[in-house]
Amino acid sequence: MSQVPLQTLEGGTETPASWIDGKTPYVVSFWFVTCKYCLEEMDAISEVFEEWQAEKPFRFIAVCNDDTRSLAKAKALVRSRGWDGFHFSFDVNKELTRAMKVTSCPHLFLFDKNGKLVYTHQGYSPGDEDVLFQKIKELR
Amino acid sequence: MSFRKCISLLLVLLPTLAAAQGWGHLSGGVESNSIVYRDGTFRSNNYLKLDYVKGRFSAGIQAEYYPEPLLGYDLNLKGIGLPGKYIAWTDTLWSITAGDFYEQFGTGILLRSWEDRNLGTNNSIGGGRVTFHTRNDVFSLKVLGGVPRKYLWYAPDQWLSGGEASLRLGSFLLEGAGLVKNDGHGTSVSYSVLSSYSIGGFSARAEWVGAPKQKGNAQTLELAYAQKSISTSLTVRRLQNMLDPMGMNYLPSLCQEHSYMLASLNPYTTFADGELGGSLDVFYRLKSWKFHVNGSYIWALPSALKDHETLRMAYRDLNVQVEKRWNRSLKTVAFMSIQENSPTHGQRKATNAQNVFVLDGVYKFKGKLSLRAQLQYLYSQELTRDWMAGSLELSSTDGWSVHVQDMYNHGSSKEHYYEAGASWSYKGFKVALSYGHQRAGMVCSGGVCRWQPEYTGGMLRLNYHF
Repeated sequence: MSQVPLQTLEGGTETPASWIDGKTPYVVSFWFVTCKYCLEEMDAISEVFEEWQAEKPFRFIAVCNDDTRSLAKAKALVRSRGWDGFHFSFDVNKELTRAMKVTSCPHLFLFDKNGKLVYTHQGYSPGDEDVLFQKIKELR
Repeated sequence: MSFRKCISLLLVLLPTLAAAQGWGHLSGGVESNSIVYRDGTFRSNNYLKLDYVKGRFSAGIQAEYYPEPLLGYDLNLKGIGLPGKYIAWTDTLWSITAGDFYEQFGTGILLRSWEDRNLGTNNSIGGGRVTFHTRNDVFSLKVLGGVPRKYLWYAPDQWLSGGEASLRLGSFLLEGAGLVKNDGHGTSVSYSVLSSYSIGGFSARAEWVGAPKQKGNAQTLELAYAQKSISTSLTVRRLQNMLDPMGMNYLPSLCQEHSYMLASLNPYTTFADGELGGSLDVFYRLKSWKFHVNGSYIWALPSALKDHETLRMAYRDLNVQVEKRWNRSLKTVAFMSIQENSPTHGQRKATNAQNVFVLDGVYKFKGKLSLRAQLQYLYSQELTRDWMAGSLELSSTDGWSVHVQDMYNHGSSKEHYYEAGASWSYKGFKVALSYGHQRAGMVCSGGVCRWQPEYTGGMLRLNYHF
């Protein structure tokens, strides 16, 4: 899983192994362009992201698992949506999606600073972002 | 202890034991979708996926069990099988895979093997694949060969082999791919060339695909420009004779895929014999307002029409969405879509027009609860005429939700299509139970659709991953 090739927003490539920095925990959230619950989740986290960074730094990695036809649209969407501070990755043939057993979106995973999975959540209901941040704060 | 309890215990204990002993990492997922239809018949699609990783070595299986496949899925899937199994070694600069794997060349028009359980699509390749890339990914190469999956085994008499090379210089990418296929009736060669470039907020991608034996070709151009609050993307594609009898290529519709019930009543599916079209999106954000305008227009090519007359409209859609967040508790969405489609992909001049209007809102109460409500109306003077629909969903951050929805064709058949259900999720586990009367129509995912017959019944979905 850690060596699955992904595309970046800038057109380059990366693997999930590069997300582990040994310093801060990170959230990996799977989404696609027409998933309304996914956009709501990312809007909600984006609104408080800066405030939360001051309290407990973490990274938010949004993995778009749309097919290639939606790649241009996804790139346009993320720029206009105001999701500042997020890292974007594109899993165009769903290799990471399959490896992480994601069958519906949104589906998020919280990893500690060493890349160990500590929390996972499927779907989105307003307020789920507060539960997520509570889990992040519990990490050392 | 029952067989099911034994399996559940093993699924929890094995990965824990493996990790504790330094034996590597075992992960898995179970998905089960079952329906009891009103006539008493029981149908079910079940998947078990296990992956094991230790260092650079990995191996895995996917088992599938269909006592009777769900209606709308291929009935030949019936039975139990192990259609997915692989071993792989992934080194720093190269990898080798033996067994069943998925792959995509370019945008997928030349080759895409992938899985989508909503569609019942799984065209994995059983064989071998070798990849190589230089440091910094300046040059990479993939070579593969094998036989495509068919139902729970492999397609008899079919095989394919090919390769893709790519050169990346900064933000400039050049890819070339070639594929040799045998569909059981003969061998054919096809190829693709793709190039992309991005600078600042601008990006462009173009691809040419050729399939000389079937006189097929496809051209795609994508342009995107993004700024802080406004961004736009344009995709244009022309294709001709690109239907692959082996089903190993990906021809999605370029039109906006709608998630609202009435807006997705008559979706467009790609006309592989010949079409020209495009889709333009504009996103704009102004404080707490978000706007999205999409326009899609598809013509059938004259060469694909029986009368060979001229370009003829196959589908068009202009849709506008306005989102407004009023405060931390309330968000509303207004949506409108003006659609016109030719049910014969332009073979006949008659078309159907429909206008869809939606009001959508979500309100978060103090505490854990939130309520989502939708009202939809479809206005049409053709076919099934007017529809109305509504839905309510109450959900909690504890992981449960309940919903009711109804879609009513008051303009013609006077029929209700309703559903009520509940779901609960906790960590990697999710269960959803619903009962409803579903309309016959197309179910789409990623621009590809399958036919879903009408049914009434109760559905149980189970999903667990570790």
